[in-house]
Amino acid sequence: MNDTIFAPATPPGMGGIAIIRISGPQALAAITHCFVPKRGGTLVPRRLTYGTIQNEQGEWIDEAMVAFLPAPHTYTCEDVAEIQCHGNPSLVNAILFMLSQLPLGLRPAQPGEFTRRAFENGRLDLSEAEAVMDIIGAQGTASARASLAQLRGGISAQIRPWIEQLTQAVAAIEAGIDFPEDDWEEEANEQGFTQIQSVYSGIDRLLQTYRGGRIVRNGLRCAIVGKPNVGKSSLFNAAAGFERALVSQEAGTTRDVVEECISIDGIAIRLFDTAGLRLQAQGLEQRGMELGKQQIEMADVALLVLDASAPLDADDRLAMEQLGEVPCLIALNKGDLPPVLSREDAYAFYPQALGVYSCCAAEGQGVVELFRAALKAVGAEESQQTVLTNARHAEALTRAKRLLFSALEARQAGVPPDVAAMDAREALQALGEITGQTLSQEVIHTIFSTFCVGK
Amino acid sequence: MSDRIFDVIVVGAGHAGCEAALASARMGLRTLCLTLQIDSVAYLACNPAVGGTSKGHLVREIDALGGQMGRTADQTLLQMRMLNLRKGPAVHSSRAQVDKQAYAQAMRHELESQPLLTLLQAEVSEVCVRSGRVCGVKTTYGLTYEAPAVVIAAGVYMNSRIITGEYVQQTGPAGLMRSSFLGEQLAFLDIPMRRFKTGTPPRVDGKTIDPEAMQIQRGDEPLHPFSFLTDATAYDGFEQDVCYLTYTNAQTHAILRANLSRSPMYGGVIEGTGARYCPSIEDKIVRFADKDRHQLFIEPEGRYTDERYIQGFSTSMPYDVQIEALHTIPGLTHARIVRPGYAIEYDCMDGRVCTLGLMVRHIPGLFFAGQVVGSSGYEEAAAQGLVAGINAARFVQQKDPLILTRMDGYIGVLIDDLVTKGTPEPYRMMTARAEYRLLLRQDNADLRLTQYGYDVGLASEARYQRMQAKRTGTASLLDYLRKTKPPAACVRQLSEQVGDSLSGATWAKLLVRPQLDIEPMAALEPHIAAYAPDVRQQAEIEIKYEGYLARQQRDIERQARMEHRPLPADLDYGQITGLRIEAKQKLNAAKPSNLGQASRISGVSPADIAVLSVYLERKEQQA
Repeated sequence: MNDTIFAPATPPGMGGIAIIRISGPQALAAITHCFVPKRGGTLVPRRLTYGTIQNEQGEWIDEAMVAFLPAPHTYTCEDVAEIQCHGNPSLVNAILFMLSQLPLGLRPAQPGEFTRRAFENGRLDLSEAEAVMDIIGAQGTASARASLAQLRGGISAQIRPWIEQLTQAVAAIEAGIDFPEDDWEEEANEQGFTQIQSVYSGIDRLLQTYRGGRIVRNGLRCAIVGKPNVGKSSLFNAAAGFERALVSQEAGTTRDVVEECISIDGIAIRLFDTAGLRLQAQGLEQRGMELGKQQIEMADVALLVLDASAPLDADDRLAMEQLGEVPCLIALNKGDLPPVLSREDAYAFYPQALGVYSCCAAEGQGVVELFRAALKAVGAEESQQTVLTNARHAEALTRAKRLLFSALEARQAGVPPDVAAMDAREALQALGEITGQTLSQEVIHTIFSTFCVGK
Repeated sequence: MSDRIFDVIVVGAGHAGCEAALASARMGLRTLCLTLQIDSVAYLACNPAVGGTSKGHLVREIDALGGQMGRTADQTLLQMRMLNLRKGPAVHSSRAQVDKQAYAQAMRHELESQPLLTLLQAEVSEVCVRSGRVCGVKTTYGLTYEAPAVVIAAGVYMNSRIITGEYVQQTGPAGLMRSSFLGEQLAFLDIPMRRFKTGTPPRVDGKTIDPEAMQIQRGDEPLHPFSFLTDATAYDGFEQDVCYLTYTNAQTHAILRANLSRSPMYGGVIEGTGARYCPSIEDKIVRFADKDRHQLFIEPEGRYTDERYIQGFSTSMPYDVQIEALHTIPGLTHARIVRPGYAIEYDCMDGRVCTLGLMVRHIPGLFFAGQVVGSSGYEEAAAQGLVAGINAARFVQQKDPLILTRMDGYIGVLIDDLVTKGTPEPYRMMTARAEYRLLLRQDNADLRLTQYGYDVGLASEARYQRMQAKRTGTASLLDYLRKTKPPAACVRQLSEQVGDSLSGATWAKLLVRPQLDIEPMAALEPHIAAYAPDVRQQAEIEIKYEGYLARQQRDIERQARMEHRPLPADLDYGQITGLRIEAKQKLNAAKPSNLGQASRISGVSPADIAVLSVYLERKEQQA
């Protein structure tokens, strides 16, 4: 028997409403102890009832709506009670404290414990439980959508045909081994390895979307790089829609690395505004530059901001050298002033740039297009196709891909087909991990249904 | 009467019964073997062959443990072939055509000359159970025989009937006597029973076939016998029989199709569940209608008979249809049928009530083995018979049973599949069923299993010593190959053979290359040649497949961890929250002994195993 846990279901902070959830055998007892319905009477299951929450001494804590949901048709499959109170942190804390003081042995839930109980009680399978966590943790609507797709089996839908194909392939090779005197052996073998090749290519393509998918899930890390006073902070502010970092005419005002999370087309972008890199930097400015370098290394993409109204100089060069291996786009800023630098100049300056975009940050022009281009450049655009977002799935697919490659290679090297088939079988297992199936019996069924095998 | 009191009683003298009876007697227990018809001891009712893919593995494993089948097959073989030679060593399988009569006689001779073994013709009508334990059997003659352990190896003889077209006979295979009472009584003992079917092809007169119209198939030269104790050189100069290959054609199929309504299977006369891997010829043309021809092998049945077996033409069609169809086949256009093909239906039990030692869980001392458990094939039966016989003896000796796991051998895979997963149709062993195929090879069956056979007192001292010599020899040769570099002259010669320059490598590094084998190396280096051929073969395999073997070993270790998480026998799975209803039912019915076995039960998903795992962890923490 489980003990009874409780926790706020809404995020901390001020808000209109806060929800506290209780799950376990003592849920009903807990509510009965502390809730007094306004109209009296007893709680009707699954109905929100208005009343007051009191502590053991009978002191009033808050007005609230309360619902009791009896097992098994609840999130955790246990008895669940919900308290909807005012979204004031101190009120919430008072209620939580009160619950812990009840003589019923309630305890605060650990992170994810409600979902864990849902899994343990069979209401969610492993994939679904992960998807729930993903939806909660999603950083943008696109990410939530991908997670929702996973909850509804999006990845599974992509993988299932591969599982079928691979099962056929393994069955063909195995049938050739177990019934070698039958005359279709050579053909079946060929067929098998052709299918392995096909599944291999498919997995490869899906894995390409993983990088984009991860960004969809966790947000694009984007570093804004450039010499002082080139308009980086203006760009930052324009993107975020409000004043975020101090902007001043004096060189070197942004000392710290300022971070902001914005949303473009439903995809989260985590912007890092770095201190203007300057050759003569010292002291605090030096330290600001150090931080900036770290951020650049960890970024998915960088935006190199150049002042289009002035010729390039040594500080620009210094900024460009900080970029390292990070994919980078060039923003030709201050488009409102007479241009001195052209797009060709920008490309000549930094040939590895993935694109050059003009904008006027101060006026907010061209900024959204710039960020869209950044997302596209790293393959993180919003699209309807299945995108792989989950690291566990990516790991299993990578393993499957490696094994299939090994099987194909082994065959080329003249290794006998039954040994090469070992790799194919393991790849099948890896795919089965994603959909939660064990597939070894399937191979046997397929042998019999596809091949006319005789005694 | 002391001549009716025994230690172990074996019901049936088929392939399972013979292994069980011989094992028990050889382990020193007074054993009674009862058979419906003493003339049909070790009768090969269907294919006159022993071995085949994965079945050859079983025969070798039976031999490695000290069982009889391999040796008897070696004594009576007509032709021997190694299958899958162009594939990896794990799937090399021996297959022998044997002389049916000679085989049966040789096996009967073993039983008759075995001390402590009594052979008796009688029909068992009842298994006697007292206070929930087995205490003996009763025969239709009214006599009771007592023993604390009974092995039932009734084969396909319980309530059987054979069917050819419209003709039904209430007999066992080939018109032999059947068992009419035991099946019913077993159901009273709460043993779940079901009905299976299998079939056999017609036999034709060898004088009436045309070999020139067919393709000849010869045995291997040199010949590799089954048993680890048989000396291969004994076959020098041995003349092997031949088989012939031919095919059905559109005409054949047309005749069969036109007469499907007269087929017992399609006409609804046959009820039992048939095997997918052994479809009748009418099954084949229905299920694989787009195939324009099916392969047939014409096999000899014995040195002193003209009967030929038509492999691939299992059928229960009426006699006239059989003959008409055969006459459309090249090589058989003038064939005369000696015995028609038939289908046979029989009662058998569901093995899931048995432990991994083949003992019925709710009736200690009662064992089942062979086709009566739902397997098919002589080799599958013999393997089970051997284990059941050993364990019946161990039961009487009050010792722990011998449990072979899926990692020990094909025998382990077979028993686990029958007992844990169950089988909805006659079960045939295949290499595809073994997860650790690369480690479970024919060539290392002795290294894997002879120790077990020796420990239970079945494998002889001579066999044991031979295995030890192979083991130490292999270790020594591997050491040499891995540490020694070949002299320059050898390297040059090998380079020529390969067409590539090989330098600075040890013998082992060279051997890893697919184009190089150990025999050419032995020809160049006397030190290597000094080792026995089977030792050289072991070393070669270990080196060539090192990476894959290591992977399989790791898989085994990972799985072993699951196998070593025991589940209490009295655990009520209904109490565990989080298991799906189907899983609870299946687990309560199966009572798996460990988490690994639980994971193989059908209806138990990986998520259920995760829940069980969490439950076990919590129990451990609480303890």
